[in-house]
Amino acid sequence: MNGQDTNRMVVPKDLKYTKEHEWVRVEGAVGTVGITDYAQGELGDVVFVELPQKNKSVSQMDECATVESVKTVSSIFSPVSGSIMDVNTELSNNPENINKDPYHKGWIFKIRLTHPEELGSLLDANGYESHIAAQAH
Amino acid sequence: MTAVVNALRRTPLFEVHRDLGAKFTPFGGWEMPVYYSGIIPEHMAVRNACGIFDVSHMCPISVEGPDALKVLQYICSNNVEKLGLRRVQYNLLCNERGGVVDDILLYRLGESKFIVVANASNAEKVKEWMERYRAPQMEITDLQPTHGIVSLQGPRCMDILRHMNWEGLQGLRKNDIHTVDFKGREMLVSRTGYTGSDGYEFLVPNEVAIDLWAALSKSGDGAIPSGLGARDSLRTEAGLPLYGHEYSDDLSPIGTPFSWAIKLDKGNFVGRDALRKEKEVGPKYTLVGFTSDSRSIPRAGQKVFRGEDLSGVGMGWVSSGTFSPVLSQAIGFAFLEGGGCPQETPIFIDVRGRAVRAIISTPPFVGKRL
Repeated sequence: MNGQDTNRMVVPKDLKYTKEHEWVRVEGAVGTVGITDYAQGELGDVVFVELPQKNKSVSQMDECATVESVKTVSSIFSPVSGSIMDVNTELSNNPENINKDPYHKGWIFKIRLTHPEELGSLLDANGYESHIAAQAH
Repeated sequence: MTAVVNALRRTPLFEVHRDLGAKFTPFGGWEMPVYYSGIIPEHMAVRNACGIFDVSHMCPISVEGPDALKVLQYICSNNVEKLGLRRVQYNLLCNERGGVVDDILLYRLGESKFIVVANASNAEKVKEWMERYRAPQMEITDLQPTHGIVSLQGPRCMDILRHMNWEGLQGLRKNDIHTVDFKGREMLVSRTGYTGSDGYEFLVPNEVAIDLWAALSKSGDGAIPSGLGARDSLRTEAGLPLYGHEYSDDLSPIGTPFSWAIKLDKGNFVGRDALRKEKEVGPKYTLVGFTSDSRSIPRAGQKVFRGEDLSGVGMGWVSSGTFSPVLSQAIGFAFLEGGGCPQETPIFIDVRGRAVRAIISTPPFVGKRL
């Protein structure tokens, strides 16, 4: 992967990140998960999103969704362990929300955290910025 | 330890793409724009209006001299003697085993003056291939160091070209070549393309490549900068092959829909005997098109099966698979053992362990092949 100007990537400070380019926003015991601005740029136009099943239990870094773009497909891993509470069904009709608004309208699923201590293993915004800068060069 | 990294080559338009905010990808040793605004808007611009592509990674090679025709006729699959002056012909360069060295466009500029346009990934191989079969009275010159190639594609091309005030383009038929003056430099224009839409391609001297891009982007309603991502989805919709997917050194083209470019009765040429033999006994593999309504898009390399049972070796493999922005469904090509299947036959593709249903459909998937 290369070719994006990482200085232009949006990396919100209040989120946690995986090295696989998922983000999680934690509010209480619930995490909202999506893919980063960098990831959507790498994928290009998203055309289908396969959402996880509601109530399914997943472990940290389990593959639980897929995002198809015109040129490629990408697996989405859960940044944390827990059970899937909700999925963004709006993406079935508007998969491009992942490209247009990856941190808000482009959210993919919400998960009830069973092992909150796992958050400590994720990257913060600075760590993630360094990670994508290293990938791009 | 030091990693050995071959630097990617950049076209004369690299800085233009960077200023446009292109996302780049390595392709055939070149650092090329994969998209600017997005693959789908660029794809639709070519289908409905006009897109502009930098395809300077393609390698133009001049072949000139009294022996040029004889040699080209011997290494090309199509009948080069039937190629008229200032016309373009699609050709395969085959090896002795009947595999494909490259698929090329052959331009005839004079009785003994030709240009071969090779794929980026095969440029060195093609140059070596031509050196191997060369004759004394023949000069081979790589034009890539001095020229770029710009491609203008879409139904609104002519609206843009009218503003350029070049004479003689109105009457240009498909595969015709014309020479125009651009900023005091001679530039070749051909009515060719790789998208299935109408289009024109320009072999432009490096010094004026940026000026040409700017002029075409700004004239009339303007052409939309488009990258290799849209180029790939467009060529797949149009049922056109890509080397490394639908062709290889080890696969015969006899079972592909592109075998029309092989003229077995034109006289001897490299690979003819192997190709003729395969035609007589029937192709080992047949290339078919497919469409699928699945939300999981079949991708190159995935195995094809007759039924939902994905065990065993299967009946073939997907060579190209993508999303068609025009049809809003998955489309692609697959090589199937033997003579292939009739239209509408269902096949099942192993997409990450799941059986995805597709049906056989004859390309082009969109529009009429130009």
